Amino acid sequence: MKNLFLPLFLLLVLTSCDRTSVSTHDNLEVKQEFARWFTIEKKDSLTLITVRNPFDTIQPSARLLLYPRQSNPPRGFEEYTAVPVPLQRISCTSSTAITFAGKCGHIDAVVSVSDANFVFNKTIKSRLVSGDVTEVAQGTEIWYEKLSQSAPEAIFVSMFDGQELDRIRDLGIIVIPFADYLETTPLGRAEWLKFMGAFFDEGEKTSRLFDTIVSQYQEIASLAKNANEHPAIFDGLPIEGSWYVSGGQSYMATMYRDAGASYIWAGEQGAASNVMAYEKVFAGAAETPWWRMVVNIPGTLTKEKLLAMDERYGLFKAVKTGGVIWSNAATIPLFEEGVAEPHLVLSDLVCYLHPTLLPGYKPRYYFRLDR
Amino acid sequence: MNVKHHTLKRPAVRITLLISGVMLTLVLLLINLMVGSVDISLPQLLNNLTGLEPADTTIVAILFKFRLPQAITALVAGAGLSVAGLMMQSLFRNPLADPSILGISSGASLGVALLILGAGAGSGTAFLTSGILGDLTVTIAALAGAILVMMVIIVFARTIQSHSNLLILGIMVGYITFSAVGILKYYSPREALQRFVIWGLGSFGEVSQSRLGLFVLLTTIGLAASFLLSKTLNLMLLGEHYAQNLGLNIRRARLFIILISGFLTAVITAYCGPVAFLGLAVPHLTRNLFQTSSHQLLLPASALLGGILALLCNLAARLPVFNGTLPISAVTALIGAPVVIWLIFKGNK
Repeated sequence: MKNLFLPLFLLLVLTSCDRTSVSTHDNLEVKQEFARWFTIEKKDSLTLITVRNPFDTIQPSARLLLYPRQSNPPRGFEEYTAVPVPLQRISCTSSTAITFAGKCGHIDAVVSVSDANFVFNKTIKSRLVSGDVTEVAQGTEIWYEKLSQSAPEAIFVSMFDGQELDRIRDLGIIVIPFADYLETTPLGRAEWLKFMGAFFDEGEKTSRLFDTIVSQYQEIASLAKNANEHPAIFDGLPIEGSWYVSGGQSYMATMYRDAGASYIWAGEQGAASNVMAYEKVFAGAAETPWWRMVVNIPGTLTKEKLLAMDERYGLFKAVKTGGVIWSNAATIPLFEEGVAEPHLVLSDLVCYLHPTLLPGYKPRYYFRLDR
Repeated sequence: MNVKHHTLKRPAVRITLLISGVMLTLVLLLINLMVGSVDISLPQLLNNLTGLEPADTTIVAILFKFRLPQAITALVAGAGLSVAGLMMQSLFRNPLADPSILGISSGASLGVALLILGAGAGSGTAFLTSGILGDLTVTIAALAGAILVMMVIIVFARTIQSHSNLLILGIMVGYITFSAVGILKYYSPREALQRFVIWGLGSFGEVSQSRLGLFVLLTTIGLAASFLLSKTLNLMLLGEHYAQNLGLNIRRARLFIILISGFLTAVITAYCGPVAFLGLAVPHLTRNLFQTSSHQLLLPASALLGGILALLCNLAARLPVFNGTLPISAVTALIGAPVVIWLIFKGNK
């Protein structure tokens, strides 16, 4: 720490005569309750954003300085990347970034995306057809020439380091890590709305919107918490004999708890998925009444289709008694939109797990398999 | 290749070896039923197998729907791959030949890649749970790809005289399919890629009880057909000219060998994914253990040894310490290669 003070002191002395410069002290930290992977600080017309790096606890993956685009970039923030706001042209390599941009009311700013085939957003889909939005990446491959041609000021990416990002910076494009998926709670993920909002100078609007989401989410969670029963639930599907089970501290484990369910692997370590043998999952979950799964198939899921995937699924009580809650990544925008609407995703689960709590509710992302 | 003339110097030793092989297979089958992520004790196992006591439905299901089909699949696939590999090694008189040498399993990979990875490009979505029919679709796609490549090879085999040229053609076909798979991988989303990679590491656990019957039947047909070729294979070992002088129709013989070895490889790869190493190593193990080059003995002995090694690998992959199920191709070489190395050193002394 000691050797940090001298440069800091020099920095203060050198910049103290400059009117637009600001010291990093006594900034106003924007209230943030759920998200863990970014922080926003406000100082007058400037916004300082830090995104943590999951692979490096000391060096953050990005320090961004947002300044009003009509003024000049402020001096004295050498370690920050200056970003003029509101951004006017952005590229999104994650579909959730598209959703958040839409929630901010700035879907028009999106000029390029990745994996066009998997985008659900109607506006972007039609602009992909008309050519107003272009596809600039597929899978892990970035097409630098197309990206450059689409001329975004900034690109929202889901990765943290690597040569790819340096090549993008070489094109004069600002790289903004968008790490909503690292959050382990539904509200934490949704709070990335504020992160996106800052880049469009929509901080107030997105804060209000987020507060509404939080109060709706918590209202439903408290209804479910006070329900008489907390039915048992498990999730996932095996891949070639191994089952990837959500850890006890994961996003889904939080969702189950908030939905008033008891997750049978709540004791499993960690926030990531743990691999488990099929037979072990079977031994633990055969008598569990509820089974949540996300399939990836054309059309809707039927019991026939499920049993055709693996006849052993028929041995689970959840399949026998109509306790399968499913979504379809191929046809339902659960991952793209659900992240910004955790209160609706939660309501979907609650309406099946506690049928009396939300009378007349029409689920949007999850459906129940007929017996 | 180490060609030794078939002598019956040690018939007693060989019979002992065969009998102990069969016994070992039965013991391994039983251990495969006992060991897994869920603890099932021997008394529990016996009670549930014999039905003497009221059975625990979960344990019965684990035994009969999970472990037994998987063990039988391992046994049959190990036997089939080893025989297919032996046939390739004898045909090409090349100790490095294995069931995948003619590109047939690459063909299966291409079929599955088109299904898992290619679906996204055409339809606008990638169907990661592999289409409406699930794992059955994967099997069909793999079978279609493998048979397509096999037909190409057979067309070549009818026109190309030289064995070594045919071998090179087979390897070339393999490279072409490999490239096609590479291009599909390049454009695939991460989840689809993960599923394809996992498929590519092989698994004995994907053949469910109701599909097991057909798998065993098809593989048995292939094995039986291969035994009919034992004399032809003995002649092949002598070299093309000798075999021809002894009255063998080389092209027809070659066609049958490719057809049957390819059929076994195609069926097993379709049901289990590409299982590495067994088809390459077991023929060497068998020749070393049985000290013979006669296919009347080598074929059944390879089948037996292949089954044993596959059961051992299946057991190791499912040990509770690994939590899940290790991919089978990661285990086969890990267990098999040291055995082959040891045997070669032992034979050298």
